[in-house]
Amino acid sequence: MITALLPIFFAVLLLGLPIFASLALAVFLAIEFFGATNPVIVPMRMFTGMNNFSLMAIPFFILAAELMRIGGLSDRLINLAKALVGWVPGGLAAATVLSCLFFGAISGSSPATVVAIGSIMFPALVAAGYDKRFAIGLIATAGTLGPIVPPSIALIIYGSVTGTSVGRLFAAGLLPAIVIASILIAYCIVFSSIKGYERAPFPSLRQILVAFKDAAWGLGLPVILLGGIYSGVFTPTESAAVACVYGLFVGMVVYRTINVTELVGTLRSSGLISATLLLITAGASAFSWLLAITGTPSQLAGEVLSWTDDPFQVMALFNVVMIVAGFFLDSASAIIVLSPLLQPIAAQVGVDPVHFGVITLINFSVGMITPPVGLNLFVAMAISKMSLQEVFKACLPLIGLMLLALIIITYVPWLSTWLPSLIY
Amino acid sequence: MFEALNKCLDRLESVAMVVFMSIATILTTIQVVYRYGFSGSLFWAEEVVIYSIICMSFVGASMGVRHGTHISVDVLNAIASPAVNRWLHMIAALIGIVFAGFMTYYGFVLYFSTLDRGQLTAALRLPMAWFYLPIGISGVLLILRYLWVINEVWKKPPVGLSEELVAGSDKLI
Repeated sequence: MITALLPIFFAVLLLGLPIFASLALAVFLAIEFFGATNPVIVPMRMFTGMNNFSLMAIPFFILAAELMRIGGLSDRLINLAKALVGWVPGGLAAATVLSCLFFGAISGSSPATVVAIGSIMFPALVAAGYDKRFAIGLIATAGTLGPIVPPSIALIIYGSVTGTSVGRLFAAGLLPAIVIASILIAYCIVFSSIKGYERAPFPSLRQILVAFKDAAWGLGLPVILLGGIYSGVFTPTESAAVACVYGLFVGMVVYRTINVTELVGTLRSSGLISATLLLITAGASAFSWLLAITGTPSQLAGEVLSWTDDPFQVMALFNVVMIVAGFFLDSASAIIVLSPLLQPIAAQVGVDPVHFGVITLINFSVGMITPPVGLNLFVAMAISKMSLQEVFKACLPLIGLMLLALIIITYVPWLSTWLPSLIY
Repeated sequence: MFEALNKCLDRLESVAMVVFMSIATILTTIQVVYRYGFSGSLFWAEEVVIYSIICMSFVGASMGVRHGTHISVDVLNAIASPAVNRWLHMIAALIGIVFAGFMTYYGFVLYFSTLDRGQLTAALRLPMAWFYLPIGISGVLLILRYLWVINEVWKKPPVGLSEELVAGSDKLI
Protein backbone atom coordinates (compact mmCIF):
# COMPACT_ATOMS: atom_id res chain seq x y z
CA MET A 1 0.00 0.00 0.00
CA ILE A 2 2.82 2.40 0.92
CA THR A 3 4.59 1.66 -2.36
CA ALA A 4 1.45 2.91 -4.13
CA LEU A 5 0.94 5.94 -1.87
CA LEU A 6 4.04 7.94 -2.78
CA PRO A 7 3.93 7.53 -6.60
CA ILE A 8 0.21 8.44 -6.68
CA PHE A 9 0.88 11.47 -4.51
CA PHE A 10 3.73 12.77 -6.65
CA ALA A 11 1.88 12.06 -9.90
CA VAL A 12 -1.25 14.03 -9.01
CA LEU A 13 0.83 16.77 -7.38
CA LEU A 14 2.89 17.24 -10.55
CA LEU A 15 -0.26 17.35 -12.66
CA GLY A 16 -1.28 20.42 -10.68
CA LEU A 17 -3.71 19.20 -8.03
CA PRO A 18 -3.42 21.35 -4.85
CA ILE A 19 -1.18 19.82 -2.16
CA PHE A 20 -4.01 19.22 0.31
CA ALA A 21 -6.08 17.40 -2.31
CA SER A 22 -3.06 15.42 -3.57
CA LEU A 23 -2.33 14.16 -0.05
CA ALA A 24 -5.94 13.14 0.57
CA LEU A 25 -6.51 11.68 -2.91
CA ALA A 26 -3.37 9.53 -2.60
CA VAL A 27 -4.71 8.11 0.67
CA PHE A 28 -8.18 7.56 -0.82
CA LEU A 29 -6.79 5.70 -3.83
CA ALA A 30 -4.25 3.69 -1.82
CA ILE A 31 -6.98 2.45 0.51
CA GLU A 32 -9.58 1.99 -2.21
CA PHE A 33 -7.42 -0.21 -4.41
CA PHE A 34 -4.80 -1.74 -2.15
CA GLY A 35 -6.04 -1.54 1.41
CA ALA A 36 -8.45 -3.54 3.50
CA THR A 37 -10.01 -0.66 5.47
CA ASN A 38 -13.01 1.45 4.48
CA PRO A 39 -12.01 4.76 2.81
CA VAL A 40 -14.61 6.54 4.95
CA ILE A 41 -11.76 6.75 7.47
CA VAL A 42 -10.11 9.40 5.25
CA PRO A 43 -12.61 12.27 5.76
CA MET A 44 -12.73 11.27 9.42
CA ARG A 45 -8.93 11.50 9.73
CA MET A 46 -9.00 14.85 7.94
CA PHE A 47 -11.53 16.10 10.45
CA THR A 48 -9.55 14.71 13.39
CA GLY A 49 -6.40 16.31 12.01
CA MET A 50 -7.96 19.74 12.43
CA ASN A 51 -9.92 18.97 15.61
CA ASN A 52 -7.31 20.40 17.97
CA PHE A 53 -7.60 23.62 19.93
CA SER A 54 -3.93 24.52 19.64
CA LEU A 55 -4.24 24.58 15.82
CA MET A 56 -6.96 27.23 16.16
CA ALA A 57 -4.16 29.69 16.92
CA ILE A 58 -3.30 29.61 13.19
CA PRO A 59 -6.29 31.59 11.87
CA PHE A 60 -6.01 34.03 14.77
CA PHE A 61 -2.31 34.73 14.24
CA ILE A 62 -2.93 35.21 10.51
CA LEU A 63 -5.79 37.62 11.21
CA ALA A 64 -3.80 39.55 13.84
CA ALA A 65 -0.86 40.05 11.48
CA GLU A 66 -3.16 41.11 8.62
CA LEU A 67 -4.89 43.65 10.87
CA MET A 68 -1.54 45.04 11.97
CA ARG A 69 -0.35 45.24 8.37
CA ILE A 70 -3.36 47.07 6.94
CA GLY A 71 -3.41 49.21 10.07
CA GLY A 72 -0.12 50.69 8.83
CA LEU A 73 2.09 49.04 11.37
CA SER A 74 4.69 47.74 8.91
CA ASP A 75 5.66 51.33 7.98
CA ARG A 76 6.21 52.24 11.60
CA LEU A 77 8.31 49.15 12.31
CA ILE A 78 10.36 49.88 9.18
CA ASN A 79 10.95 53.46 10.35
CA LEU A 80 12.17 52.18 13.68
CA ALA A 81 14.50 49.70 11.98
CA LYS A 82 15.84 52.48 9.72
CA ALA A 83 16.55 54.70 12.72
CA LEU A 84 18.37 51.88 14.48
CA VAL A 85 20.60 50.47 11.71
CA GLY A 86 20.21 52.86 8.77
CA TRP A 87 23.65 54.38 9.42
CA VAL A 88 25.70 51.22 8.74
CA PRO A 89 26.97 50.53 5.19
CA GLY A 90 23.98 49.11 3.33
CA GLY A 91 21.80 50.57 6.06
CA LEU A 92 18.53 50.31 4.16
CA ALA A 93 19.17 46.63 3.44
CA ALA A 94 20.08 45.97 7.07
CA ALA A 95 16.90 47.79 8.10
CA THR A 96 14.92 45.43 5.85
CA VAL A 97 16.26 42.44 7.75
CA LEU A 98 15.60 44.09 11.10
CA SER A 99 12.03 45.00 10.03
CA CYS A 100 11.40 41.34 9.18
CA LEU A 101 12.70 40.40 12.62
CA PHE A 102 10.32 42.93 14.26
CA PHE A 103 7.38 41.97 12.08
CA GLY A 104 8.09 38.31 12.88
CA ALA A 105 7.15 39.04 16.47
CA ILE A 106 3.63 39.81 15.24
CA SER A 107 3.34 37.41 12.33
CA GLY A 108 3.87 33.68 12.41
CA SER A 109 4.03 33.20 8.67
CA SER A 110 6.86 33.51 6.20
CA PRO A 111 5.01 34.66 3.03
CA ALA A 112 2.97 37.15 5.09
CA THR A 113 6.20 38.74 6.34
CA VAL A 114 7.52 39.00 2.78
CA VAL A 115 4.29 40.77 1.76
CA ALA A 116 4.22 43.12 4.75
CA ILE A 117 7.86 44.22 4.61
CA GLY A 118 8.75 43.46 1.00
CA SER A 119 5.96 45.41 -0.65
CA ILE A 120 7.27 48.55 1.07
CA MET A 121 11.01 47.85 1.14
CA PHE A 122 11.50 46.49 -2.39
CA PRO A 123 10.54 49.77 -4.12
CA ALA A 124 12.45 51.70 -1.46
CA LEU A 125 15.63 49.66 -1.95
CA VAL A 126 15.44 49.91 -5.73
CA ALA A 127 14.84 53.66 -5.51
CA ALA A 128 17.88 54.01 -3.26
CA GLY A 129 20.01 52.43 -5.98
CA TYR A 130 20.33 48.86 -4.67
CA ASP A 131 20.65 46.04 -7.18
CA LYS A 132 17.18 44.62 -7.90
CA ARG A 133 18.32 41.03 -7.56
CA PHE A 134 20.14 41.66 -4.30
CA ALA A 135 17.02 43.38 -2.90
CA ILE A 136 14.50 40.68 -3.81
CA GLY A 137 16.75 37.81 -2.71
CA LEU A 138 17.27 39.50 0.63
CA ILE A 139 13.55 40.15 1.14
CA ALA A 140 12.48 36.61 0.24
CA THR A 141 15.08 35.18 2.62
CA ALA A 142 14.59 37.63 5.50
CA GLY A 143 10.87 36.83 5.34
CA THR A 144 11.65 33.39 6.75
CA LEU A 145 12.40 35.16 10.04
CA GLY A 146 8.60 35.59 10.37
CA PRO A 147 7.93 32.09 11.68
CA ILE A 148 11.30 31.67 13.43
CA VAL A 149 10.68 34.64 15.74
CA PRO A 150 7.77 33.68 18.01
CA PRO A 151 4.82 33.37 17.33
CA SER A 152 5.15 30.72 14.65
CA ILE A 153 2.50 28.82 12.70
CA ALA A 154 4.96 26.10 11.71
CA LEU A 155 5.97 25.53 15.34
CA ILE A 156 2.29 25.33 16.40
CA ILE A 157 1.85 22.55 13.85
CA TYR A 158 5.07 20.83 14.95
CA GLY A 159 3.97 21.07 18.58
CA SER A 160 0.55 19.59 17.90
CA VAL A 161 1.98 16.70 15.85
CA THR A 162 4.79 15.74 18.23
CA GLY A 163 3.15 16.70 21.52
CA THR A 164 5.77 19.33 22.35
CA SER A 165 4.84 22.45 24.35
CA VAL A 166 4.11 25.35 21.99
CA GLY A 167 5.24 27.85 24.62
CA ARG A 168 8.67 26.18 24.86
CA LEU A 169 8.98 26.01 21.08
CA PHE A 170 8.18 29.72 20.76
CA ALA A 171 10.90 30.60 23.26
CA ALA A 172 13.36 28.31 21.46
CA GLY A 173 13.04 30.20 18.18
CA LEU A 174 14.19 33.60 19.43
CA LEU A 175 17.98 33.16 19.62
CA PRO A 176 18.21 31.23 16.32
CA ALA A 177 16.24 34.06 14.70
CA ILE A 178 18.75 36.57 16.01
CA VAL A 179 21.62 34.42 14.70
CA ILE A 180 20.06 34.30 11.22
CA ALA A 181 19.28 38.04 11.27
CA SER A 182 22.89 38.81 12.27
CA ILE A 183 24.26 36.68 9.44
CA LEU A 184 21.95 38.39 6.95
CA ILE A 185 22.83 41.86 8.22
CA ALA A 186 26.55 41.01 8.01
CA TYR A 187 25.96 39.96 4.40
CA CYS A 188 24.20 43.29 3.68
CA ILE A 189 27.10 45.25 5.17
CA VAL A 190 29.76 43.33 3.23
CA PHE A 191 27.84 43.41 -0.07
CA SER A 192 27.02 47.10 0.24
CA SER A 193 30.56 48.08 1.27
CA ILE A 194 31.90 46.40 -1.86
CA LYS A 195 29.27 48.09 -4.03
CA GLY A 196 29.71 51.39 -2.19
CA TYR A 197 26.04 52.07 -1.54
CA GLU A 198 25.08 55.23 0.32
CA ARG A 199 24.40 55.15 4.02
CA ALA A 200 22.18 57.31 6.19
CA PRO A 201 23.70 59.74 8.74
CA PHE A 202 23.99 58.57 12.34
CA PRO A 203 20.61 59.22 14.00
CA SER A 204 20.17 61.47 17.01
CA LEU A 205 18.81 59.97 20.21
CA ARG A 206 15.67 62.03 19.65
CA GLN A 207 15.06 60.44 16.24
CA ILE A 208 15.37 56.98 17.73
CA LEU A 209 13.00 57.81 20.57
CA VAL A 210 10.41 59.24 18.17
CA ALA A 211 10.60 56.10 16.03
CA PHE A 212 10.17 53.96 19.14
CA LYS A 213 7.16 55.96 20.23
CA ASP A 214 5.57 55.65 16.78
CA ALA A 215 6.02 51.90 16.75
CA ALA A 216 5.08 51.45 20.41
CA TRP A 217 1.60 50.08 19.74
CA GLY A 218 3.04 47.47 17.43
CA LEU A 219 5.83 46.54 19.80
CA GLY A 220 3.23 46.22 22.55
CA LEU A 221 1.67 43.25 20.81
CA PRO A 222 4.52 40.75 21.30
CA VAL A 223 4.75 41.91 24.90
CA ILE A 224 1.10 41.00 25.49
CA LEU A 225 1.38 37.82 23.44
CA LEU A 226 4.49 36.35 24.99
CA GLY A 227 3.91 37.89 28.41
CA GLY A 228 0.44 36.34 28.45
CA ILE A 229 1.68 32.91 27.38
CA TYR A 230 4.69 32.74 29.71
CA SER A 231 2.91 34.08 32.78
CA GLY A 232 0.23 31.46 32.21
CA VAL A 233 -2.54 34.03 31.80
CA PHE A 234 -3.64 32.46 28.55
CA THR A 235 -2.87 29.61 26.18
CA PRO A 236 -1.12 30.32 22.85
CA THR A 237 -4.49 30.05 21.05
CA GLU A 238 -6.16 32.51 23.40
CA SER A 239 -3.23 34.87 23.14
CA ALA A 240 -3.67 34.82 19.36
CA ALA A 241 -7.34 35.78 19.65
CA VAL A 242 -6.48 38.55 22.11
CA ALA A 243 -3.88 39.74 19.60
CA CYS A 244 -6.65 40.05 16.98
CA VAL A 245 -8.74 42.22 19.27
CA TYR A 246 -5.65 44.29 20.11
CA GLY A 247 -4.83 44.68 16.39
CA LEU A 248 -8.40 45.73 15.70
CA PHE A 249 -8.30 48.27 18.52
CA VAL A 250 -5.02 49.75 17.29
CA GLY A 251 -6.20 49.86 13.67
CA MET A 252 -9.70 51.23 14.28
CA VAL A 253 -9.33 53.38 17.40
CA VAL A 254 -5.67 54.43 17.79
CA TYR A 255 -4.43 54.84 14.22
CA ARG A 256 -7.91 54.99 12.63
CA THR A 257 -6.64 53.38 9.46
CA ILE A 258 -9.07 50.45 9.24
CA ASN A 259 -12.73 50.93 8.31
CA VAL A 260 -15.53 48.37 8.41
CA THR A 261 -15.31 47.44 4.72
CA GLU A 262 -11.61 46.75 5.09
CA LEU A 263 -12.27 44.75 8.24
CA VAL A 264 -14.73 42.47 6.44
CA GLY A 265 -12.30 42.08 3.55
CA THR A 266 -9.51 41.19 5.98
CA LEU A 267 -11.68 38.64 7.78
CA ARG A 268 -12.45 37.04 4.43
CA SER A 269 -8.89 36.94 3.11
CA SER A 270 -7.40 35.79 6.44
CA GLY A 271 -10.11 33.15 6.62
CA LEU A 272 -9.24 31.90 3.16
CA ILE A 273 -5.49 31.79 3.86
CA SER A 274 -6.11 29.95 7.14
CA ALA A 275 -8.50 27.54 5.44
CA THR A 276 -5.95 26.56 2.80
CA LEU A 277 -3.38 25.97 5.56
CA LEU A 278 -5.74 23.96 7.76
CA LEU A 279 -6.86 21.85 4.80
CA ILE A 280 -3.21 20.96 4.23
CA THR A 281 -3.07 19.99 7.90
CA ALA A 282 -6.13 17.81 7.32
CA GLY A 283 -4.79 16.11 4.18
CA ALA A 284 -1.34 15.61 5.69
CA SER A 285 -2.88 14.10 8.84
CA ALA A 286 -4.67 11.48 6.77
CA PHE A 287 -1.43 10.79 4.89
CA SER A 288 0.61 10.56 8.08
CA TRP A 289 -2.03 8.28 9.65
CA LEU A 290 -1.71 5.82 6.78
CA LEU A 291 2.08 5.83 7.15
CA ALA A 292 1.68 5.22 10.89
CA ILE A 293 -0.76 2.27 10.67
CA THR A 294 1.44 0.52 8.15
CA GLY A 295 4.33 0.66 10.62
CA THR A 296 6.51 3.02 8.58
CA PRO A 297 7.87 5.00 11.58
CA SER A 298 9.29 1.94 13.36
CA GLN A 299 10.63 0.43 10.12
CA LEU A 300 12.38 3.68 9.33
CA ALA A 301 13.73 3.96 12.87
CA GLY A 302 15.12 0.42 12.65
CA GLU A 303 16.78 1.16 9.35
CA VAL A 304 18.35 4.47 10.38
CA LEU A 305 19.56 3.23 13.77
CA SER A 306 21.06 0.06 12.29
CA TRP A 307 23.13 2.33 10.07
CA THR A 308 24.29 4.79 12.74
CA ASP A 309 23.28 6.01 16.18
CA ASP A 310 25.70 8.91 16.28
CA PRO A 311 23.62 12.08 16.77
CA PHE A 312 26.00 14.06 14.56
CA GLN A 313 25.47 11.73 11.59
CA VAL A 314 21.75 11.20 12.21
CA MET A 315 21.13 14.95 12.25
CA ALA A 316 23.24 15.46 9.13
CA LEU A 317 21.14 12.81 7.36
CA PHE A 318 17.85 14.31 8.58
CA ASN A 319 18.86 17.80 7.50
CA VAL A 320 19.51 16.53 3.98
CA VAL A 321 16.18 14.66 3.95
CA MET A 322 14.28 17.74 5.14
CA ILE A 323 15.99 20.11 2.70
CA VAL A 324 15.06 17.79 -0.19
CA ALA A 325 11.48 17.45 1.12
CA GLY A 326 11.34 21.24 1.32
CA PHE A 327 11.73 21.47 -2.45
CA PHE A 328 8.44 19.69 -3.06
CA LEU A 329 6.34 20.38 0.02
CA ASP A 330 5.19 23.47 1.88
CA SER A 331 6.25 23.59 5.52
CA ALA A 332 2.87 22.57 6.99
CA SER A 333 2.55 19.30 5.09
CA ALA A 334 6.27 18.56 5.37
CA ILE A 335 6.15 18.96 9.14
CA ILE A 336 3.03 16.82 9.55
CA VAL A 337 4.28 14.01 7.33
CA LEU A 338 7.95 14.00 8.38
CA SER A 339 8.12 14.96 12.07
CA PRO A 340 6.27 11.85 13.34
CA LEU A 341 8.80 9.79 11.35
CA LEU A 342 11.99 11.65 12.26
CA GLN A 343 11.42 13.18 15.69
CA PRO A 344 11.22 9.85 17.63
CA ILE A 345 14.50 8.73 16.04
CA ALA A 346 16.15 12.05 16.88
CA ALA A 347 14.90 11.71 20.46
CA GLN A 348 16.43 8.21 20.64
CA VAL A 349 19.86 9.55 19.77
CA GLY A 350 19.44 12.28 22.37
CA VAL A 351 18.20 15.35 20.44
CA ASP A 352 15.80 17.45 22.51
CA PRO A 353 12.30 17.63 20.89
CA VAL A 354 12.29 21.43 21.24
CA HIS A 355 15.71 21.71 19.58
CA PHE A 356 14.57 19.32 16.84
CA GLY A 357 11.51 21.53 16.30
CA VAL A 358 13.71 24.54 15.61
CA ILE A 359 15.95 22.51 13.27
CA THR A 360 12.86 21.29 11.40
CA LEU A 361 11.55 24.83 11.10
CA ILE A 362 14.81 26.19 9.68
CA ASN A 363 15.05 23.34 7.18
CA PHE A 364 11.59 24.10 5.86
CA SER A 365 12.34 27.83 5.95
CA VAL A 366 15.00 27.07 3.35
CA GLY A 367 12.21 25.17 1.55
CA MET A 368 10.32 28.47 1.37
CA ILE A 369 12.98 29.90 -0.97
CA THR A 370 13.61 26.79 -3.09
CA PRO A 371 11.42 25.89 -6.09
CA PRO A 372 9.19 24.26 -7.24
CA VAL A 373 7.20 24.87 -4.04
CA GLY A 374 8.67 27.93 -2.34
CA LEU A 375 5.95 30.24 -1.13
CA ASN A 376 8.30 33.14 -0.44
CA LEU A 377 9.55 32.98 -4.03
CA PHE A 378 5.98 33.21 -5.34
CA VAL A 379 5.25 36.26 -3.21
CA ALA A 380 8.59 37.83 -4.15
CA MET A 381 7.70 37.30 -7.83
CA ALA A 382 4.42 39.14 -7.31
CA ILE A 383 6.18 42.02 -5.51
CA SER A 384 9.08 42.44 -7.93
CA LYS A 385 7.41 41.38 -11.23
CA MET A 386 10.48 39.22 -11.84
CA SER A 387 10.32 35.60 -13.08
CA LEU A 388 10.64 32.60 -10.77
CA GLN A 389 14.06 31.85 -12.26
CA GLU A 390 15.37 35.35 -11.61
CA VAL A 391 14.07 35.44 -8.04
CA PHE A 392 15.49 31.99 -7.32
CA LYS A 393 18.89 32.96 -8.73
CA ALA A 394 18.80 36.07 -6.55
CA CYS A 395 18.19 33.85 -3.52
CA LEU A 396 21.04 31.40 -4.22
CA PRO A 397 23.80 33.14 -2.18
CA LEU A 398 21.32 33.61 0.65
CA ILE A 399 20.34 29.94 0.59
CA GLY A 400 24.04 29.28 1.25
CA LEU A 401 23.91 31.59 4.28
CA MET A 402 20.72 29.91 5.54
CA LEU A 403 22.46 26.52 5.30
CA LEU A 404 25.35 27.94 7.31
CA ALA A 405 22.86 29.11 9.95
CA LEU A 406 21.22 25.68 9.86
CA ILE A 407 24.53 23.97 10.60
CA ILE A 408 25.27 26.35 13.48
CA ILE A 409 21.80 25.90 14.98
CA THR A 410 21.87 22.11 14.53
CA TYR A 411 25.20 21.62 16.24
CA VAL A 412 24.88 24.29 18.94
CA PRO A 413 21.80 23.00 20.80
CA TRP A 414 22.32 25.64 23.49
CA LEU A 415 20.96 28.31 21.13
CA SER A 416 17.55 26.64 21.08
CA THR A 417 17.31 25.10 24.53
CA TRP A 418 18.73 27.79 26.82
CA LEU A 419 15.84 30.28 26.67
CA PRO A 420 13.06 27.70 27.17
CA SER A 421 14.98 26.27 30.13
CA LEU A 422 15.09 29.75 31.70
CA ILE A 423 11.37 30.30 31.38
CA TYR A 424 10.05 26.87 32.30
CA MET B 1 -26.51 29.98 -15.75
CA PHE B 2 -22.93 29.01 -14.98
CA GLU B 3 -22.01 32.62 -14.25
CA ALA B 4 -25.05 33.21 -12.07
CA LEU B 5 -24.35 30.08 -10.04
CA ASN B 6 -20.72 31.11 -9.73
CA LYS B 7 -21.64 34.59 -8.44
CA CYS B 8 -24.10 33.09 -5.99
CA LEU B 9 -21.46 30.69 -4.65
CA ASP B 10 -18.93 33.56 -4.35
CA ARG B 11 -21.37 35.45 -2.18
CA LEU B 12 -22.29 32.46 -0.05
CA GLU B 13 -18.72 31.40 0.57
CA SER B 14 -17.57 34.93 1.45
CA VAL B 15 -20.36 35.36 3.97
CA ALA B 16 -19.69 31.95 5.53
CA MET B 17 -15.99 32.74 5.77
CA VAL B 18 -16.50 36.09 7.53
CA VAL B 19 -19.15 34.71 9.88
CA PHE B 20 -17.16 31.65 11.00
CA MET B 21 -13.96 33.64 11.42
CA SER B 22 -15.74 36.31 13.49
CA ILE B 23 -17.51 33.78 15.71
CA ALA B 24 -14.25 32.01 16.49
CA THR B 25 -12.28 35.17 17.28
CA ILE B 26 -14.98 36.81 19.38
CA LEU B 27 -15.80 33.65 21.32
CA THR B 28 -12.18 32.90 22.19
CA THR B 29 -11.73 36.46 23.46
CA ILE B 30 -14.96 36.33 25.46
CA GLN B 31 -13.73 33.11 27.02
CA VAL B 32 -10.58 34.86 28.29
CA VAL B 33 -12.57 37.85 29.56
CA TYR B 34 -15.05 35.53 31.24
CA ARG B 35 -12.33 33.58 33.01
CA TYR B 36 -10.63 36.64 34.50
CA GLY B 37 -13.54 39.08 34.65
CA PHE B 38 -16.19 36.76 36.02
CA SER B 39 -14.03 33.80 37.07
CA GLY B 40 -16.42 31.52 35.23
CA SER B 41 -15.79 29.29 32.26
CA LEU B 42 -17.71 28.78 29.07
CA PHE B 43 -17.31 25.02 28.81
CA TRP B 44 -18.78 24.90 25.31
CA ALA B 45 -16.78 27.75 23.81
CA GLU B 46 -13.75 25.72 22.75
CA GLU B 47 -15.90 23.24 20.86
CA VAL B 48 -17.80 25.97 19.02
CA VAL B 49 -14.52 27.67 18.08
CA ILE B 50 -13.01 24.45 16.73
CA TYR B 51 -16.11 23.54 14.73
CA SER B 52 -16.48 27.05 13.29
CA ILE B 53 -12.89 26.99 12.07
CA ILE B 54 -13.27 23.46 10.66
CA CYS B 55 -16.45 24.48 8.80
CA MET B 56 -14.62 27.56 7.56
CA SER B 57 -11.75 25.41 6.28
CA PHE B 58 -14.05 23.14 4.30
CA VAL B 59 -15.76 26.19 2.79
CA GLY B 60 -12.26 27.40 1.92
CA ALA B 61 -11.61 24.28 -0.17
CA SER B 62 -13.88 25.35 -3.03
CA MET B 63 -13.23 29.05 -2.49
CA GLY B 64 -9.49 28.38 -2.84
CA VAL B 65 -10.09 26.65 -6.19
CA ARG B 66 -12.14 29.61 -7.38
CA HIS B 67 -9.51 32.18 -6.40
CA GLY B 68 -6.46 30.02 -7.12
CA THR B 69 -5.07 30.34 -3.60
CA HIS B 70 -4.31 26.66 -2.97
CA ILE B 71 -0.64 25.77 -2.82
CA SER B 72 0.24 23.57 -5.77
CA VAL B 73 3.19 22.57 -7.94
CA ASP B 74 3.41 24.20 -11.36
CA VAL B 75 6.76 23.01 -12.74
CA LEU B 76 5.05 21.27 -15.64
CA ASN B 77 2.98 24.37 -16.41
CA ALA B 78 6.13 26.48 -16.33
CA ILE B 79 7.88 24.48 -19.07
CA ALA B 80 4.76 23.80 -21.15
CA SER B 81 3.67 25.78 -24.22
CA PRO B 82 0.38 27.71 -23.85
CA ALA B 83 -1.57 24.97 -25.66
CA VAL B 84 -0.17 22.22 -23.44
CA ASN B 85 -0.60 24.41 -20.36
CA ARG B 86 -4.29 24.63 -21.17
CA TRP B 87 -4.59 20.86 -21.28
CA LEU B 88 -2.68 20.55 -18.02
CA HIS B 89 -5.27 22.77 -16.38
CA MET B 90 -8.03 20.56 -17.79
CA ILE B 91 -6.35 17.43 -16.46
CA ALA B 92 -5.77 19.00 -13.05
CA ALA B 93 -9.43 20.03 -12.87
CA LEU B 94 -10.55 16.52 -13.87
CA ILE B 95 -8.37 14.95 -11.17
CA GLY B 96 -9.81 17.57 -8.83
CA ILE B 97 -13.30 16.33 -9.69
CA VAL B 98 -12.23 12.75 -8.92
CA PHE B 99 -10.95 13.92 -5.53
CA ALA B 100 -14.13 15.94 -4.92
CA GLY B 101 -16.19 12.86 -5.84
CA PHE B 102 -14.40 10.86 -3.14
CA MET B 103 -14.95 13.69 -0.64
CA THR B 104 -18.63 13.95 -1.48
CA TYR B 105 -19.33 10.22 -1.42
CA TYR B 106 -17.35 9.31 1.69
CA GLY B 107 -18.21 12.59 3.41
CA PHE B 108 -21.89 11.75 3.20
CA VAL B 109 -21.25 8.09 4.11
CA LEU B 110 -19.50 9.37 7.24
CA TYR B 111 -22.42 11.71 7.94
CA PHE B 112 -25.10 9.04 7.65
CA SER B 113 -23.21 6.33 9.53
CA THR B 114 -22.46 8.72 12.41
CA LEU B 115 -26.08 9.84 12.42
CA ASP B 116 -27.17 6.19 12.74
CA ARG B 117 -24.83 5.58 15.66
CA GLY B 118 -26.18 8.67 17.42
CA GLN B 119 -22.75 9.85 18.65
CA LEU B 120 -22.88 13.19 20.52
CA THR B 121 -20.14 15.82 20.85
CA ALA B 122 -18.32 16.02 24.19
CA ALA B 123 -19.37 19.48 25.41
CA LEU B 124 -22.40 20.61 23.44
CA ARG B 125 -24.11 17.18 23.33
CA LEU B 126 -25.11 17.82 19.74
CA PRO B 127 -25.11 15.03 17.13
CA MET B 128 -21.52 14.56 15.94
CA ALA B 129 -22.87 13.85 12.46
CA TRP B 130 -23.78 17.52 11.98
CA PHE B 131 -20.14 18.45 12.19
CA TYR B 132 -19.20 15.92 9.51
CA LEU B 133 -21.79 17.36 7.12
CA PRO B 134 -19.52 20.19 5.81
CA ILE B 135 -17.14 17.55 4.38
CA GLY B 136 -19.72 16.19 1.93
CA ILE B 137 -21.04 19.65 1.14
CA SER B 138 -17.53 20.94 0.41
CA GLY B 139 -17.15 18.00 -1.99
CA VAL B 140 -20.22 19.16 -3.94
CA LEU B 141 -18.98 22.78 -3.98
CA LEU B 142 -15.57 21.59 -5.17
CA ILE B 143 -17.16 19.74 -8.11
CA LEU B 144 -19.07 22.90 -9.08
CA ARG B 145 -15.93 25.03 -8.86
CA TYR B 146 -13.84 22.59 -10.91
CA LEU B 147 -16.57 22.52 -13.57
CA TRP B 148 -16.35 26.32 -13.61
CA VAL B 149 -12.55 26.10 -14.01
CA ILE B 150 -12.97 23.72 -16.97
CA ASN B 151 -15.52 26.08 -18.49
CA GLU B 152 -13.14 29.05 -18.08
CA VAL B 153 -10.17 27.22 -19.57
CA TRP B 154 -12.31 25.99 -22.47
CA LYS B 155 -13.68 29.44 -23.32
CA LYS B 156 -10.49 31.46 -23.05
CA PRO B 157 -7.58 31.33 -25.49
CA PRO B 158 -4.60 29.31 -24.22
CA VAL B 159 -1.96 31.25 -22.28
CA GLY B 160 1.39 30.34 -20.74
CA LEU B 161 2.02 30.19 -17.02
CA SER B 162 3.97 33.45 -16.86
CA GLU B 163 1.03 35.44 -18.27
CA GLU B 164 -1.32 33.75 -15.81
CA LEU B 165 0.96 34.73 -12.95
CA VAL B 166 1.10 38.35 -14.06
CA ALA B 167 -2.70 38.44 -14.41
CA GLY B 168 -3.22 36.99 -10.95
CA SER B 169 -0.29 38.47 -9.06
CA ASP B 170 -2.58 40.21 -6.59
CA LYS B 171 -4.39 37.08 -5.52
CA LEU B 172 -1.44 35.68 -3.59
CA ILE B 173 -2.06 36.33 0.11
